[in-house]
Amino acid sequence: MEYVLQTDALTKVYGGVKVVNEVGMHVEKGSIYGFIGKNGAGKTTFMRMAAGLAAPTSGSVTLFGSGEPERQRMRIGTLIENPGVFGGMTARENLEIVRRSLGIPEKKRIDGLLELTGLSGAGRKKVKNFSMGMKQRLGIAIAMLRSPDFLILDEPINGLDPTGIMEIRDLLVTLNREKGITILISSHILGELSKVATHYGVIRDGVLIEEFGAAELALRCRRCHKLVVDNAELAAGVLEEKLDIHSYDIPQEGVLRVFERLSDTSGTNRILMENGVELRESYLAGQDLEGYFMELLGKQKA
Amino acid sequence: MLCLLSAEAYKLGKSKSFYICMASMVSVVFLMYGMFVIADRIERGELENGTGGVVITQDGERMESGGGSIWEQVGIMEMLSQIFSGDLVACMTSIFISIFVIGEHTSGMVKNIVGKGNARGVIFLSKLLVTEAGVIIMVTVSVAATLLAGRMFIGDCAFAGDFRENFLAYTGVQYLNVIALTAVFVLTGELTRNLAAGISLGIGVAVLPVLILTGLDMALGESSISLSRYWMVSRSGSCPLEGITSGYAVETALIAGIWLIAATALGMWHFYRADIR
Amino acid sequence: MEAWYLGAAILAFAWAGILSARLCCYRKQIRHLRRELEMIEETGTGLGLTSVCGIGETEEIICAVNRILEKNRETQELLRRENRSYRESIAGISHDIRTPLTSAKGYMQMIRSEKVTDEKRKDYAGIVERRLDDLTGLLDQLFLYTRIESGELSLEIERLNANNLFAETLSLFYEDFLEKGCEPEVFLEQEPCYIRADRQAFVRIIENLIRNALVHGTGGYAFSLRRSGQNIVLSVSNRTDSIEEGDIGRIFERFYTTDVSRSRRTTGLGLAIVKKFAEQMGGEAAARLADGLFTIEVRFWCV
Repeated sequence: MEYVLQTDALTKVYGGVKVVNEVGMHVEKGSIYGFIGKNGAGKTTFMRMAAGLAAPTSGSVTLFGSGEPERQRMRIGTLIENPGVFGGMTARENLEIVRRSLGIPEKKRIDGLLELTGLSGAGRKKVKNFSMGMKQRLGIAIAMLRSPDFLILDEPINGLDPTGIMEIRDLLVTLNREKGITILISSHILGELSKVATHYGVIRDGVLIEEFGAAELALRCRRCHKLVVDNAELAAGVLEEKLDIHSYDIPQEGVLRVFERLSDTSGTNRILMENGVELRESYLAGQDLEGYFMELLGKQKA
Repeated sequence: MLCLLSAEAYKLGKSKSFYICMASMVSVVFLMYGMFVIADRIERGELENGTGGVVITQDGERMESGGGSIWEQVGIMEMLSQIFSGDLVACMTSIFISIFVIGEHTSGMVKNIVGKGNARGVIFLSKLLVTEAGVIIMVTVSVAATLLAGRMFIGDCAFAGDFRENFLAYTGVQYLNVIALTAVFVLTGELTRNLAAGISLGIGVAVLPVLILTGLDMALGESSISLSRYWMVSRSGSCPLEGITSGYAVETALIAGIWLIAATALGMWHFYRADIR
Repeated sequence: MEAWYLGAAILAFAWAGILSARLCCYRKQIRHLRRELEMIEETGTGLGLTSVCGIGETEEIICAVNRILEKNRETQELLRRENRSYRESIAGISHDIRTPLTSAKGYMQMIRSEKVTDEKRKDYAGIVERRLDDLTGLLDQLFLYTRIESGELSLEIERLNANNLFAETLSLFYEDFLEKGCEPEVFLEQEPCYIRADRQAFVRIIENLIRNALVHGTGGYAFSLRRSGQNIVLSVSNRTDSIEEGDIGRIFERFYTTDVSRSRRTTGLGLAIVKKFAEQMGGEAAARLADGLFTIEVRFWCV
């Protein structure tokens, strides 16, 4: 698999505290990677290290599979923490500064980007009079200026109204699908994230707890009848033979997830027990995404 | 590098603090001339001292009309020395530099430029170069204003004698001091990266060392060591108006060069090493 | 005279200086472009070329090359997407063919075994037949879809009485709804609605929509054919627990099914065909989900 961003035991220590603790993240080429964590979990610090704004205390960052991240960094567009813009200037002037400093000869790109991010109406309005959402859009426009291969966006939909969120979401999906741009995006609005992300990484107290794909997430969040039994093979046999249930799986030893007969779980349980399966636990599991993430984020350290 | 310079120049062109600092320097120049014009008219007995509430004192005493023109004692060179050896240039440039350099960090614009293919050292260097250019423009405009006002208020006689040689030598030496001082201010801005702290530190650097060094010089009066010889602000205050020798000029260039290189190197090292917030 | 020579010499030097500075700029720019082009070749990055000196004519060239690169990138992306969807299609088709085939084979083995009673044997044969019917249906859909896709299928647009066709087609599914144990709500306009459509395509649209509702629905079936301005709107809605907000945008894609394990024997072609047909007849198809009620609306033009 080709990774756009790969980190190995990336660690950042601020004042003796490991803000980012041995994070090994893998962002696949062409994916939209949703980076989830509470405030202060280390998302921004991680992104700053990936973007080359902060130096890691230890560990390494590999970009585009190349050993020399500095040279590859020009392929990244970033919007981290807040859009870096001068309040006393207009959106166009701010873009002009970045266009000049990156040596992009196309002056028309600025018009295109203002159009794309819905800022062309802002005209001579100074950035300090912009709403939070407009500033965020300007930040995205700046990140897009040098048609990057990889976008790192830290809370890009922060402060946007619902229509704004939808527009940015559509924009990101279009960029991803039509230009093949890989996107790493952090957000605390999980519902929004889950509409675009193809992969997820969950960070808690600086530790990357889990990485998984969208299909895996869908499976994890599917409503199911969860059974903890002494003998999973026997239980599986009973399910197939006696109950004609074929849609189930065994995520770990002794645990079964049954996706059928959810309306009659007690019946399922009774038949299992009549056939010699010892039930330790039986409950209806599977929640909405928000609930699932909350569970992940709130989990106590093992 | 050229791209970065062009972007920095664009920023300078759009920077309000640049124009405001320049305008205030020019207006201070005209204010000083205005004061001397009043003093001149009192001196010549055309105006009663205290007219319009303005009282001019000289060496603690109320100035009286003395018949002659004040312009016999005060010429353009004296006005120039008011600009350079007073804290005017140091304070104004320190404010402008702090706003220009630190604005980059407080706005976060620097995030859009660092890590995008340009080495950090080059980024710092182009910022420094354009700041230098901005300061030189500011100072040149004030010098030009001084000349223009001199022509207006004093007349052609202000340019008589060996004015040209003195003027060129004096401003040349002062430019060297300003260039080195600018690098120091860029360094303080880079180290603080905070507007309030940067401006206070900048003005502190402009004003305090002069006093401290003068005190030290007096304390060390017995020996022939004079520390204030090695600090640009002190040097620009003590720079002679006339008869600058080539030895003095070379000494100034050397000291300014050392400060410039040291400040630049330290600034680059800090910019290279420090995380960007 | 001397002053004149001096002036000329200074001018000449200045000119030479400017020229050599320009030459340096050009060389630097050329080296820079070479490095960038090498990087593009090496990594396939989508970055455009950049200018280092801001010389007008080189900037024009850079812009021109960038336009080509941009086009190139878009074509590549398109190709990559097509390629992926093609691979997904193949995988989808194999899966959809294998499932009924495997099942049919299993029952064939049982029929051959000696222990089974004649009665059971008949039952099994029935099941095998149904599996084969499923397969035929799938192949029909696939064939049809390929033909629409490739533009081979030409529609014969004529004036159709939509009410009659709709009612006729709906009645064919009467038993299926009985089996599900619920009566669908049906609404038809009083006066006949004439639309411009191909007869077969129109019937196919209705069939596919009903089948889709039967597979994914959990009740609350409602079918209607209403007049709305210059359009006739065919609407099918049902309650569902297997479709989510995020699926709505992709529901008309070929081989898209909301069923992760693909256990409900859906092909993901039905709605794709609905959309293709609707569009070819100048109409459109849209889906929405509100409070667990899933609705598909297809618009046709009135005559």
